[in-house]
Amino acid sequence: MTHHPAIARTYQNALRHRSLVLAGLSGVLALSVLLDCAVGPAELSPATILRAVFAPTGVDEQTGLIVWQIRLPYALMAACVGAALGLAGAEMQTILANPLASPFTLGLSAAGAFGASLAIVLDWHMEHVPDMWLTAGSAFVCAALSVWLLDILVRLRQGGTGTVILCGVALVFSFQALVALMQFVANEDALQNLVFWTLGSLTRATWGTLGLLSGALACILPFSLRASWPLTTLRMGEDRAASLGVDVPRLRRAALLRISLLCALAVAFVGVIGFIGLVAPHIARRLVGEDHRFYLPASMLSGACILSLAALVARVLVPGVVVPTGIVTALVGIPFFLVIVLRRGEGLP
Amino acid sequence: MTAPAPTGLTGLTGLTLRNLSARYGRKSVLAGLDAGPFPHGMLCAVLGPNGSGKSTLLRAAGGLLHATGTITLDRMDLTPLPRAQRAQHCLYLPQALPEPVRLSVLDAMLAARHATGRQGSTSTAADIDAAMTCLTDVGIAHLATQSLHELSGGQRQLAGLAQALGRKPRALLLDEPLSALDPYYQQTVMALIRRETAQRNLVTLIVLHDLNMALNQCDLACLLHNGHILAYGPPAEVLTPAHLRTVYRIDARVETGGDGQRFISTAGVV
Repeated sequence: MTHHPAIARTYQNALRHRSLVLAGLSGVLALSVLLDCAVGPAELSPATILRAVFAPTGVDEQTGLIVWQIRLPYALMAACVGAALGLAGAEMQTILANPLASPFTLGLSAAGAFGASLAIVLDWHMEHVPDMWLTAGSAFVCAALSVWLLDILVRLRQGGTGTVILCGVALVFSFQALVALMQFVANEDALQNLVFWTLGSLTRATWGTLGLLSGALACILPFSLRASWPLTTLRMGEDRAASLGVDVPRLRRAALLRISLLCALAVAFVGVIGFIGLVAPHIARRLVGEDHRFYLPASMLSGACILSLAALVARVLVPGVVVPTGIVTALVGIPFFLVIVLRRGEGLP
Repeated sequence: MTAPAPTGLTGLTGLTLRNLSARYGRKSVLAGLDAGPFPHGMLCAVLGPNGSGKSTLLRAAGGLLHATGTITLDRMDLTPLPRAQRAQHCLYLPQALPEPVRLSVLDAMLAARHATGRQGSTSTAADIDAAMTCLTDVGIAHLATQSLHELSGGQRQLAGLAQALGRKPRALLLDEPLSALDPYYQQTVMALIRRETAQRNLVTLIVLHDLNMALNQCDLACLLHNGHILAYGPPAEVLTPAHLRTVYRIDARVETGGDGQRFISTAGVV
């Protein structure tokens, strides 16, 4: 059929290779989630976990309770938050054409932390609404507002991607200062709660928050994938994408909306977890290149894997204590990240 | 202020700009510019010093910049069309080379093809065939499976040209395609543009800083001065000592070398 059989075959092979990488990442993720469920004070074998999940009648009530109420939400939340941050980071680095862009570096996380600190320190209560949801809601509103503010600042100046990064950095410092201010005026109890929150922790995951986050992820992913061709052209330069007929401002606004939803929800439920949104896209780029049909899912799966593994480490590091996950991702992840960046040896990607 | 169209080019086909105005912020760059008609199958150099509005003219014509006025291609008004459709007719190629990203040349071709939604043919094999034909045309078919980040600047420029040709526009607007290239690739790219313009019967506008290139390799030249067209016609008639003095502020003459090539000999600034 084709006049270039060799090229067509090479291309098909490349596509198959990328699909295999995605399958491999999914496998690693499944394994990591399973291990994550198995580790804990009550020794449960992976086989017991699987039985508790797929045939709940086969295990005793206590085991079922531990698996369903404690282990599963924690393990799945790690994967979900990682996936959300990985996808958001990948889109962010593409639309801002900057390898340093991430929810963390552009102030979304800091804004979310500020929102949470408002609710915690000012001791907000609302009838019929659990305090946890109120904190999460406040974090969500602030994170979403920060993206909106960023968009306005950039459009006002008609600036390029450099302006976006600079405005993002300004937002990071502003919100960090505001969080510090809230810590300064907080009483002891609130301070304890707030510090725990800003460190990022998965221990408060429930089926409700998990459902909301995974639902949002499932709704947003198809839109991201639909934009994968224009996003790929955008990687070759903003002007080039525009010249090929892509409506770049519209593409960018839609991506920002998706990013703000994903990050704001992630921050709202588990606090500040940096680094995933920054490093997952870099890993994905090395694994599958920049064809966004593969790059976006690869970044999502990489993010999920990293956070899931970090959550595992967080629980086995100090026996009997769950170290806040945000600390682990940074401590374990950054050396790993440096290895990736330095091994490349050719500067920016 | 507008120079009349050269004789023989007054037909209604080609690219015509009428009463075009564009601004960057508060600074007006083009005010009521009339240009063309730029005919099919001819390579037209757009010349002028820095800041004279060359890029703005091309970006406005390509639809990348908001501008008022009318832009017609073969009697069809392009101005009301949405960006994606407009790029099908009249394609602007930016000055910046394609970024050196981890994307194979073939992937880049397919992405350009699908950037505004899948085009007519839907099978991957047909898409690959179309892409390979364009890559063969620009002479980089052997690089199809290489990643853009492994290519030289000249090779990336060729890949960018192949992307543009793959979209099958009727008019091609090239913004300084030679500025980042070494002399070998300058000649290669220029020869390629000349050939494709003739073969595909394109309206091709090319912004150049190299006046000798315009003089020897282009069919027409269009000289911009402070946002309006000072002269339009065969390059030798446009690049006169008087025009060079007014527009570029240089004291220069056009001479003919032993091999028949013309060149501009500059004595200094005015």
